[in-house]
Amino acid sequence: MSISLEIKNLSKSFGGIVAVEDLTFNIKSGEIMGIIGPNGAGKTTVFNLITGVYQPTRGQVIYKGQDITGRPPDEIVKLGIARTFQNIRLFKNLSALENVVTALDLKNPMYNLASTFFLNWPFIPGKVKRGEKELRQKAMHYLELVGIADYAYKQASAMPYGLQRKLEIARALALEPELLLLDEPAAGMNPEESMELSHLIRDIQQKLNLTVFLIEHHMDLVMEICDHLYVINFGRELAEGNPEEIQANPAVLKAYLGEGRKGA
Amino acid sequence: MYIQGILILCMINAISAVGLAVFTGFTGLMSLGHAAFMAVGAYTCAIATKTFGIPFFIALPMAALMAGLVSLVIGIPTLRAKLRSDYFTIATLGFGEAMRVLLENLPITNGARGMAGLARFSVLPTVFLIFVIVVFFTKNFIFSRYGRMAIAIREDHIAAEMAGINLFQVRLRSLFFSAACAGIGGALMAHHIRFIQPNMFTNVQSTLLTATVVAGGMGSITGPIIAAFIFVMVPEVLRVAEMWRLVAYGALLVAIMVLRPQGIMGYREFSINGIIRYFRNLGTKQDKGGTVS
Ligand SMILES: Nc1ncnc2c1ncn2[C@@H]1O[C@H](COP(=O)(O)OP(=O)(O)OP(=O)(O)O)[C@@H](O)[C@H]1O
Ligand SMILES: [Mg+2]
Repeated sequence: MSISLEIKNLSKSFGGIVAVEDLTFNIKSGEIMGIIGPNGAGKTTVFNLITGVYQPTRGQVIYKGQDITGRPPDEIVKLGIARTFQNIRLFKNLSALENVVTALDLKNPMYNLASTFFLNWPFIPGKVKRGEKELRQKAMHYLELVGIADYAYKQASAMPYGLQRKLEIARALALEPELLLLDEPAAGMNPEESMELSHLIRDIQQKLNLTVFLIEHHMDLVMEICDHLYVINFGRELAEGNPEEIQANPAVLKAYLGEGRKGA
Repeated sequence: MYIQGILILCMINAISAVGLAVFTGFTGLMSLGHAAFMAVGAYTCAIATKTFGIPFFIALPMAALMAGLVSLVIGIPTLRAKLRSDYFTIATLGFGEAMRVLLENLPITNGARGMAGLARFSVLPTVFLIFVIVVFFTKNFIFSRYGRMAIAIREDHIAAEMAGINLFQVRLRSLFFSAACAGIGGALMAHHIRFIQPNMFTNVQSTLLTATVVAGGMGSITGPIIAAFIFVMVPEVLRVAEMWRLVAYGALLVAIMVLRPQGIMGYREFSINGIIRYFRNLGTKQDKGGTVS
């Protein structure tokens, strides 16, 4: 199995606060990798470093053999990495469908600037109208994939919280990534909902042939779907292994599971 | 004749406002320097027609292009640096002043005395035609993937970047478009009043333009058009003396912001379907009916 993402000695400090310290790990193509750790451990920071939202203080991010450290987010997405956000970041005033259509533009440019201006006349079908229609159909397909097609024309901010998370996943998938980063996709869900979500993630991962890297506090979900786990605490590596190994690891139990599970 | 003059002025202001709506309303950045682009358009067109005898229909696109190019001068350094929006606004304020000073000191613009005796090209049919063309282009731009990128940035710029949208490119493109529209507005203004002077394009004019967009509704095209018409017509109808004009604008703006904080149209567009839906919803007492940009 080839390596999708390599993280080498990654560190990040904010002023005096060391959020992430010397992390090194690999994600293999086609696996579901989980990163877990107590609140404030630095998990979201790792995502932000991978996706170019923050610049690392030290270390490297290598994607499919290419050094992408410090590249801006829009370039990183083009290379095939998409993500969702812990504190949902949808285009709130747009409909669910439009949220997905916006993401589709990246890999499906249907027309150029000149045709935008000159080839879109009222009542006359043309390249622009055809392209827009095709994108909407495609977007609908992604909404169906995550099971929220009924909400296509609903304003994103008016959707129930759990479905907004699914919409974020649909939008990320519309970017046609190879590596998908999910930041607490089950946050705010009850155990049944999070189980359902874990099946959804598995299905999508297999159907679209994705590599998945996810942050989650719901341990049942993590243990159910992750092939591999990376545990951090106070920004540092604590353990690495498959779910069974992690569950049996005394250091992890002490630092994380021992404190009681965090639902949020 | 009098009514025609007012209509011409309404449409000229609407052209500039529509352009600025594409920038401010759809990327969320405020400009307090757009009068400078009107000035560039006005002077380009005036110099082209008067000094060089170039036909108006060629000079007008030149004015748009020149205003657009000048916008890159301010846009490239400020937007690339991803300046916070308030810094950008202040930069545009300084840029507006700098442009005015420049115009006052260039030989080709005839300095502070300005240029008089310009031909009357901005007659009602011409202005109307150009107004329709500008609105057509604006509508096409906004309701396309290019408009969608701008809207995404306004909604959440981090999520937009993570959707592969290049903030700099999209903002610069919108700025260029808005400056070109302002350039056309300025050019038409020059050939309507038939006299231009640097102090016609002050920060007051810029502020008024931005106020028009805000009052019309950020994220709407029809809203700023309606607001532009109101802002020209109301003071005329009330025949307020020149010195009270700004007070009238202020009062109007305050009234709009109090009564409709989202602007006249909010995120929506004025359309026949929208009106039908509005009345239908009144009947059924449903609250939400309009589509969102
Ligand atoms: N932009 C920032 N500026 C300053 N400090 C930050 C910033 N982002 C994160 N931090 C700090 O870095 C540390 C790690 O935060 P991070 O959000 O990565 O944790 P996390 O593991 O995702 O936690 P949670 O489970 O609560 O989401 C925290 O101490 C946080 O306060
Ligand atoms: Mg987090």
